[in-house]
Amino acid sequence: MAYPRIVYFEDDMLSREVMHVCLTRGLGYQDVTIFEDSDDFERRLAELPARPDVIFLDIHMEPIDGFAMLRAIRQDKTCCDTKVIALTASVMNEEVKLLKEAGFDGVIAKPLDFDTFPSVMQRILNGEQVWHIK
Amino acid sequence: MRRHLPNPDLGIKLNMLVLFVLSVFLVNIVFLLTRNTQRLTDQVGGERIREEVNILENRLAEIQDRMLVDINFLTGSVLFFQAVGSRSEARVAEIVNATNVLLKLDDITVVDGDGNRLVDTDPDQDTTEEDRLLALGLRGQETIALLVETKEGAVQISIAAVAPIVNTTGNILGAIQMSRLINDDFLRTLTFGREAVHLGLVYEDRLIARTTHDESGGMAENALANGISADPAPLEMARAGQTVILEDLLEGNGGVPHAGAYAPIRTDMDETPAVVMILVELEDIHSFQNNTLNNTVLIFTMLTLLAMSIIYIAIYRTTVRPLNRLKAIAQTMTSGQYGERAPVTSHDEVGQLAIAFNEMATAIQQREISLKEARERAEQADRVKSMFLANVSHELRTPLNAIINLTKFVALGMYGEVNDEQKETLHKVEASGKHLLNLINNVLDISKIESGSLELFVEEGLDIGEIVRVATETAKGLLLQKPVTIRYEIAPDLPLLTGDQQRIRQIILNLLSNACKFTDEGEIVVRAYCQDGEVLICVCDTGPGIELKDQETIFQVFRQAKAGVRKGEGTGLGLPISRRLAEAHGGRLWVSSVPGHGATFYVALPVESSLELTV
Repeated sequence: MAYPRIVYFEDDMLSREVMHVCLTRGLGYQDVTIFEDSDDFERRLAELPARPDVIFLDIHMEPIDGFAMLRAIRQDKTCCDTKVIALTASVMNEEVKLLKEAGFDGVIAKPLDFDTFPSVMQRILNGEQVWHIK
Repeated sequence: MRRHLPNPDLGIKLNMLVLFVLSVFLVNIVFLLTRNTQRLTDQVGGERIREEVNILENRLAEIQDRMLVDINFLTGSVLFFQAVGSRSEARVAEIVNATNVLLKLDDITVVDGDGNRLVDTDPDQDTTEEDRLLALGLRGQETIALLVETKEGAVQISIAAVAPIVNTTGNILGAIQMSRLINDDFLRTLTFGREAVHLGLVYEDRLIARTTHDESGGMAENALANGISADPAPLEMARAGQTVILEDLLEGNGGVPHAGAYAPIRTDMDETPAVVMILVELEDIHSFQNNTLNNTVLIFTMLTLLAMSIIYIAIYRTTVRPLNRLKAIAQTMTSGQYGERAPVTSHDEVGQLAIAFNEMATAIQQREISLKEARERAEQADRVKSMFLANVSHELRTPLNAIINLTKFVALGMYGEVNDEQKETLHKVEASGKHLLNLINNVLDISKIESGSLELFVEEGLDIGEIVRVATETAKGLLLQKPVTIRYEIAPDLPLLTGDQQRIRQIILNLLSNACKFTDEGEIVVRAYCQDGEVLICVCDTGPGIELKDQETIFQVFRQAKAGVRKGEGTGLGLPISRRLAEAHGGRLWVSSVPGHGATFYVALPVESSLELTV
């Protein structure tokens, strides 16, 4: 069975650990790459052996925030099938609205809900837009 | 929006008023003037005609006296009565002709004592009338009479004097008659050539002599002057011997007024067959009247025009122009510019209006500035608050992510085995973390609701049945092995709603979690159905119910009924938030409960929503 290729940008150490456990231990995914910051992220994405299926982006990141990263990813023709999901603790309605307008494929709220995470992940892989996650 | 009003200039409106008032004045003045000049004409006409009648009558009396004097002079002459006594026609004729050179009478007839004519300076074919008069003379009477004769088919009237010719002893030797023909020339001598006075001699109904021959063609033969003829009624009175002065003026050709009178020619005889009709033309008064009237109207019209021009200019300068300026400035103020001020050009009401207007403009400007500042401050504060809330939310959720999940991972044995006691403790940590998360969410919600900045994420096509099903399934996990069953009844014809799915789920979950919390045995039923244009969701439990006095308290922020306080759970925010969320959807949330018999919470959401879609 081919695992989906997942990339996650996150500057908070504990959030990286939670997500890593969810993806690897919880879902058993093998191809998970997690970056600590967004510095030179395009080059690092391009150096990956294959294009990721899903990219999770933290929004409040240095030096490039999630919105700018999304714009860059969308401009890269080779990533046009990649789902880009915001993984953020900023989930008030107006913030979600901004994410939706910016063109994210969905949002997953922090704290992660470990119980519903597998079904949400499945929906993302099925190509659904995922909003309203608490 | 603005009604269509006629909008002539204010100056024109006032001018119309002035024009109207002055027109009324003019009409009155013309009326009064006409009446007064009419009265004046009447008065002057009356005086003139009386004067003319006096002149005429005096003149006629004078002529008659003169004729008597003359006839006495002749009959008193010895040579004359001797000549008559001797019946010498030649001598009598000689004396008579010599005398008539001076007297210029039209006819002198002398008869002897037997009535035979000795002299007749103007012999007639028909001498009946003459003979009748001479017979009076032969009887010794000395008298004046009118002599009416027909000569060549035309009636001629003369004033005749008759006297006996007496010798020194008193014997009547004969008689003499001398007469003056009343013809056009004679009448003209009576007017002394004045053109405004017209005399006519009327016999029976005809004018037989006149001073003026009316040349106005086509008029009656009997018209004396300017088409005015004798009037039968006063004529009849005059024939009866009375002098008639007409009270009303007569109107001749061209509207010229005439004063009229009828004077009988009085003699010693009783009958007065001939009447003199007198007309005095009042042309001078007439033209005076017309000129006065014309001048008055002309002057008044000019004054009116002048007054209107002055009023228009004055009104324009003092009122219309300043008001127009005010209007223009008010319009610029309406468009949001408050800098302009009206010039104050006077101290009258318009000037005071401008001053008051300027003060108002300044006040509005200042209020606008302070409003703007206040708004900016409020917006700034709002931005700061929103940012603060967003930051608080973000900063609290990030560590909770680790707390809840890492605890869960440990509890699940991902980091090595844990015994049951440890697992239970870890579940408590996880539950506390989730409670803290819930509390954060609720505090954020309520602060947003209180500041009015709650934004709904509005979508259409929401399936309430599906939301109820999912929520009910979720709630099952909250019952913790209590002997409570939970089920739902969803009407098949539920319409799709427009609203914030997350918030509607939050309301239903909140009601369900309350029901699960307070119900220790029995059942919880969730019903969803459509009624009166609303979708109703009711959550019905068999818990302890709610005291009547608490039924409103539970919807107040941070207030719980005693039962809730005893349970030691909850934030006291769930119900207030749920109610506000329902209201934000245009809906309602209320409770119905009999203590001891459970409680039913109702949510009503409108089918036709007025909410705007978010995306």
